[in-house]
Amino acid sequence: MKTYSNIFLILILLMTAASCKKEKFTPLTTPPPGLGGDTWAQTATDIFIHDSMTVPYNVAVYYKWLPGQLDFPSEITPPDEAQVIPMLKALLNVAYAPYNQQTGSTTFLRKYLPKALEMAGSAEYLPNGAIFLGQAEGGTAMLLYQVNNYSRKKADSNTFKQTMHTMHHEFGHILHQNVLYPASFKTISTGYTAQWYNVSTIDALQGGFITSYAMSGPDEDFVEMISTMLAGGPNDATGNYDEYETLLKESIITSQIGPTVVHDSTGYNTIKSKEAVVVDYFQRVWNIDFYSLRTKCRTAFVNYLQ
Amino acid sequence: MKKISIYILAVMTIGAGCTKSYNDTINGQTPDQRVSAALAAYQKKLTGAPYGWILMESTTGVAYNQGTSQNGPKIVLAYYMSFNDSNRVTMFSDWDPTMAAAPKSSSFLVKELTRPALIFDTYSYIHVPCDPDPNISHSPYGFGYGWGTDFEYSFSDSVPADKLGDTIHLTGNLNSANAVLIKATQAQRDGYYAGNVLALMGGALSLNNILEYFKRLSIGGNNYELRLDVTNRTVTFTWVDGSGKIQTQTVNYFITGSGIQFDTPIVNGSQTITAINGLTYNPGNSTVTVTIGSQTGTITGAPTPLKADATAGSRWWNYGANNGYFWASGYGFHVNGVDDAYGIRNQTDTAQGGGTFYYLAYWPAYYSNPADRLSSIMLFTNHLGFATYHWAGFPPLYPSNGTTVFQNGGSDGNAPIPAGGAFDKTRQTLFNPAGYYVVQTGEKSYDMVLATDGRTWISWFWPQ
Repeated sequence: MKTYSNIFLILILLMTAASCKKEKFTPLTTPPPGLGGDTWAQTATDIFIHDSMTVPYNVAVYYKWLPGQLDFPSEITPPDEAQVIPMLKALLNVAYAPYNQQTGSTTFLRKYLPKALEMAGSAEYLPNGAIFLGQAEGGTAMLLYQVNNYSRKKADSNTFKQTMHTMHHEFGHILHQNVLYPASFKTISTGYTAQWYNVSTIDALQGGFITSYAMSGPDEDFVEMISTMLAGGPNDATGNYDEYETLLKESIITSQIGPTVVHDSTGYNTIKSKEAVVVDYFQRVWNIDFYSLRTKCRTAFVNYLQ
Repeated sequence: MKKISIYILAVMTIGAGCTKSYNDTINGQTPDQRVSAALAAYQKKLTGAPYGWILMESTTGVAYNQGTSQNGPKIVLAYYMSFNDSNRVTMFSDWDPTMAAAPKSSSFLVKELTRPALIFDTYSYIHVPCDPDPNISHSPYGFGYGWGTDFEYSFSDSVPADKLGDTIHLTGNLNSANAVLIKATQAQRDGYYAGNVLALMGGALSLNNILEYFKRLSIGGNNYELRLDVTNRTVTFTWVDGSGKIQTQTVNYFITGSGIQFDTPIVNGSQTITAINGLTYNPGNSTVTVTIGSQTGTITGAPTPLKADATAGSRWWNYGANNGYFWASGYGFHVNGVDDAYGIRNQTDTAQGGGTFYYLAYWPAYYSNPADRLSSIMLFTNHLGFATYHWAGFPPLYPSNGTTVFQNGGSDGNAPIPAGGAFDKTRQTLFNPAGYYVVQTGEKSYDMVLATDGRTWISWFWPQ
């Protein structure tokens, strides 16, 4: 009986070895389709992007619909290709050029511009009735929506300002995602709220926020200060994108008690102290004179309108 | 012995467990090789059609955004598309006349997603009904939703790519719209470039030149009433069947160069209508000549319906009375080809100061007498929905000719009604003793056509 057992054991070992001998895999001769990105016949748009964005700024521009790249599952449409070059030219001339002039070269933007610029033709519509005009993703990607609405005509200057506001807003995020603003900024204001979209511009201003959206959190507050100072901000009362100073004036509450006119400048002072932090941050962290940059941005904007 | 059984069992188990066959290839091809071959075959199929393709898309009545959905009307759309090897696609659309008049070029990509996909990856005509901006898509699904159409599709046929025939099925990845690509003939391609779709759109709109509400199509000995809804892309056929019953069928239409086609055929006894073609307006006698199949027909204005829906008026009145609310009209009366002929939308309130028109309302059994109330509801900056002008009516009568006759109840006080003004004219028309033919146009919508000559009508919707 014992002999049999041994024979069986040997058999088991032999059979196990034999049955587990693996067949050879077919070698992988083709990479998975789409690995390394999509390819298509190059158009004038692709050449412009290569020459004007990728070579000088090391930025890849995604203007074609890439499933899953933008928020899923949302009804967002891709840009009209005819809008891509005009939009990029506006970015280069009105948003990037002032930084280059201020810092003396393209080095600063080349280093800090997020390496991917993603475009969508429409906005992204949120269930709460708000819309996304842009997004910044962890210092690596910038999303620009509503490319189909872009126009440089004087009559459409609000749309143009909105676009520039979005770009400066998102670039502001990239900057603070690289080097955070002083922690004290977060304590200048209280009253941040997720329901910012229920607050009118005038109430936001009088509460010490430059725009309603600035109330959504300190990060947004910080970059709304940057973008409003550089490109103007939305004013729901007029429906326009007004200059920073115009908005600032509305932050003062004027009331009359008996014969005396009383000004309450609490909101104004709050915004002004935020302004000081922004200016100091740009000088200290990035060695950029913010007021000089602002002048250059405004000049570039006005000159670019048709 | 027991021990031996265990050994045998062990051997069998191990042996069976390890007999793996590695199915990583089919006919010697890895999955990636097969996917690449399929993508190349789809691409070749699309670009290989000498005269391009006609893409027909039908929605499911659901639109998605941000992971939530809305229900709404279904539509069917038709495009002409020509694909080339440089990832470019040129298309026409039947969405609106500008898109039927000139082709637009954009890009496309055949790409592997969870299934091989056809993506229209830059904006073109096909993106317009998808656009979340209500100012662009005019979608009734609401802010942020398109019409439930798609621009990113999966190839959904169960045959291999290289075995596909002249029909390719697609399913939208976001909204699950169904699309079919059908290889176009030279005549179809030439038809698009010759402006046939545009001409058909113009022909359909020429129905508006007929001033009567009832547009009667006579074809092959049968009569139909047609109602065209350009916004929702539907056409409604009403006819009287062999047993004398009113039949109504609403179908989605789409326009290819070959005619105004219906997603569902109209079947009336032995007659089947799948498309209308060759719409030509004859100004002399205000008729439209059409071709259906091999037959020629005429669309003529008629003062009365083929057969009046005798209970429509009481259904309308009872619905309002039972639900304790009013029927609303946003445009007032259409008279002799003119929308809002009395200018009720331009009416402003002088008595209350600064109100603008919101809608005209008819509230069945508003008073307990019982009596109805016709009112013009105005929108004020400080309070919404104030009935500035109103007038009383007794419940309508339903005489045997199938009409509904409103009963004047006289002034019920409140602000004096300016004589000859929009509300005064509206009131006089409504209480015209000739009465109205009532047509139910939807679950909660009705049209009423003045029985005198069929050229005056009003549309009511349920605002709740």
